[in-house]
Amino acid sequence: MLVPMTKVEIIGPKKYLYDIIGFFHQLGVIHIQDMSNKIRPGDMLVRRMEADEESTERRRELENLSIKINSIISSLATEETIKAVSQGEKEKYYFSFWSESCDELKSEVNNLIKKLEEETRELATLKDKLELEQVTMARYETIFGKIKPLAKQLVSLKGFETVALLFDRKYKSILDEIRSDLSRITRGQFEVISTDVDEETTAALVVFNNRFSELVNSSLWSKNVSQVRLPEELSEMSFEEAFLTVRERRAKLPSELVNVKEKLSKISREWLTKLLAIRDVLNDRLREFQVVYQFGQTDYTFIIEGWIPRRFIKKTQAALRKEFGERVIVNEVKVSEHELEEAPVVMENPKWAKPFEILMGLLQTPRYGTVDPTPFIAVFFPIFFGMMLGDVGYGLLTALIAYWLRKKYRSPFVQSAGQIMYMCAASSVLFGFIYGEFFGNLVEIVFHRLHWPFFKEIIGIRLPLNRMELIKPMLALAIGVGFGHIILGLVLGVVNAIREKAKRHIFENIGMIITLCSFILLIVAAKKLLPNQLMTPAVVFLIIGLVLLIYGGGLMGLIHIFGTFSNILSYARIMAIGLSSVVLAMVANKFGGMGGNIALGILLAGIFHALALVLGIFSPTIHALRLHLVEFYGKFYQGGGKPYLPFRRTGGENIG
Amino acid sequence: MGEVAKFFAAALAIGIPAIATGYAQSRIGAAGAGAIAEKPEVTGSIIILEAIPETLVVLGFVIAIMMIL
Repeated sequence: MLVPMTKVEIIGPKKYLYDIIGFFHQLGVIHIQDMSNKIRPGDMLVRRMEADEESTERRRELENLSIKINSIISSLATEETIKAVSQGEKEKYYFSFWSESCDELKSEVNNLIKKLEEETRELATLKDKLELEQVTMARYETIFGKIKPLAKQLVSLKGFETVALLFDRKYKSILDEIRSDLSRITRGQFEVISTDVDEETTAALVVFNNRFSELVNSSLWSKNVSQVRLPEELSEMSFEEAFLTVRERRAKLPSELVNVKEKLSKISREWLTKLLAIRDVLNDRLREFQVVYQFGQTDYTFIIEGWIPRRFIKKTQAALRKEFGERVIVNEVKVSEHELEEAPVVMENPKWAKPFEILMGLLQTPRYGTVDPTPFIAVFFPIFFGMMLGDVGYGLLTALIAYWLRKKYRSPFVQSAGQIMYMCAASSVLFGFIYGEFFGNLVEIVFHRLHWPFFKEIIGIRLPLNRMELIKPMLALAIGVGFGHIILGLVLGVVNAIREKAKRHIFENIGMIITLCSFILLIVAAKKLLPNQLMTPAVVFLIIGLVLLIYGGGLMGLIHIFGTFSNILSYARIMAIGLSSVVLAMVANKFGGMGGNIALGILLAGIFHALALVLGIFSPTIHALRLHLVEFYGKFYQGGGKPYLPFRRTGGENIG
Repeated sequence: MGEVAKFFAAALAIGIPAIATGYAQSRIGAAGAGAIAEKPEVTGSIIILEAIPETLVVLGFVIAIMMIL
């Protein structure tokens, strides 16, 4: 259900402005409406609110502090240190910082920054440098290892410069180009040796007379070959020495890195909680400064426009009266239809429907005042899933997978998805009993028959229903379910149209419902399943329905009938996917039987059943979802709502 | 002869929709990969869009089974 909202106007003397902001920030229920774009510049009475000099100055200082604190946090924050932060302690720090005034906060934060900023920055840069060095040293070691034997072939001559080159093996032909260029530039006073470093790269050593250094370097550079750049310390030594130095350094690096990381985590353990709390406090204070721009003002008062959920109004008014007496008032404003569309939207659903709210993320937020589709999808999605998967064994495995997922991942999305999976698994088990399927026809193979005893007497049909034999009745069932679902969607469309006072839509939807029902009645009467006298009333209803449809929707209404028919037929996929799931399980069992001995049979059948399970979870989910989102919602859903973002304090990790 | 025609028809009934589905999903997949590369939040929607043409081949399969059985 979409929570009913009231539009409110809060008016009070300007001197209470910042107290009021703090008060509402604490209360956390009001969704502030930006007044600044509704106030025209020439307006006599109400003007846009601007921050005064002092507040702008304060805001700038807080922004500076926020930037510095953020950079310290980014040096200290890694996955482990963040996990080690206790939420309870952070909240304690948060409240103690929040109660300080702006200046106290500023001076304390400045002290903290002075203490920590330099040290953490140094350590963080050192850590990055060491990590980079690790990578480059590893590379150098391999390169030098390969170049070493080459270097032995060269005599180390004074006055000759050596350059090491690396390139992709497939570009080996560039060596010939280099040779010809160099022989031209250095007049033959050069030597090039090459060898393959690994499967992809080739290394080459180029030795040439110092005199031509500039020319050679620029020619090599123009060839776009990467030169192995040696750090200062190594370029003076021979390759042999360089190799040993690199190897030594590489051995020492890990311990140095661990050292630096240990120092950083020590600082984190001591300060990170406090720093995170400070960051949240700064962000909230800044938000308080920024929100001022959305208010209006007159000469002596401020005006705030916003939305509050209806059930919080009384509480808000009482709290406001307690704090400020009669000096600040909260007015409930009567809104026109047009303005009601701008009301923010938040959903509130009973526990069994709540997990399905995550599916709303796939569509636009529903418009305020329309029907919340979550309870309907909460009922029908598991039903469709169960009708499609319909297997006791697969259902139980789905429940196990849902249990494992919920245990392993803590994010609220996965928790909700797991709950949805539980409901779908329960539905699959139920339909599995109705269809008599346990891993396909495993029971029939083993026990040679399957028959639920009492149902023929109770309901009149023999259970279980074998999906392989009853193809046509299953198809009729699927389309019948589709018919019912679409009619439900059209009814919801009528409800929405009534709430929005859109007369044409009301008639269009009612006309469509009557047309569809009378169509079915006509077909049934023609096939003599019901008495023939119903023929005439059916035709009459059909004509009434068509008239209403054309009145409500124009000629496009007639085209919509075909659209609706194809939507209903689309539900046939319930039967189609169900059948494919049965056949897959049957094939799996047949493969198992062909094995010859039991162990091989179980292995083969297990592999195919695993495949069938994956398909059997994925496919019905997608198609049940598609049936809801495209066919069902298409009949009544109106998007374009604004999500409810109350002016609330953070206290947590994420910033609003 | 009737049997042969029946099985041949069933093969066509599943084969041609499969080609159509493959073609459709390949185009969707290519576009989807580009969209995800630019905006990873749409991954869920793209997976759903990718699976929508599945209907074509499932309905073809149903017809084939109805013919064979």
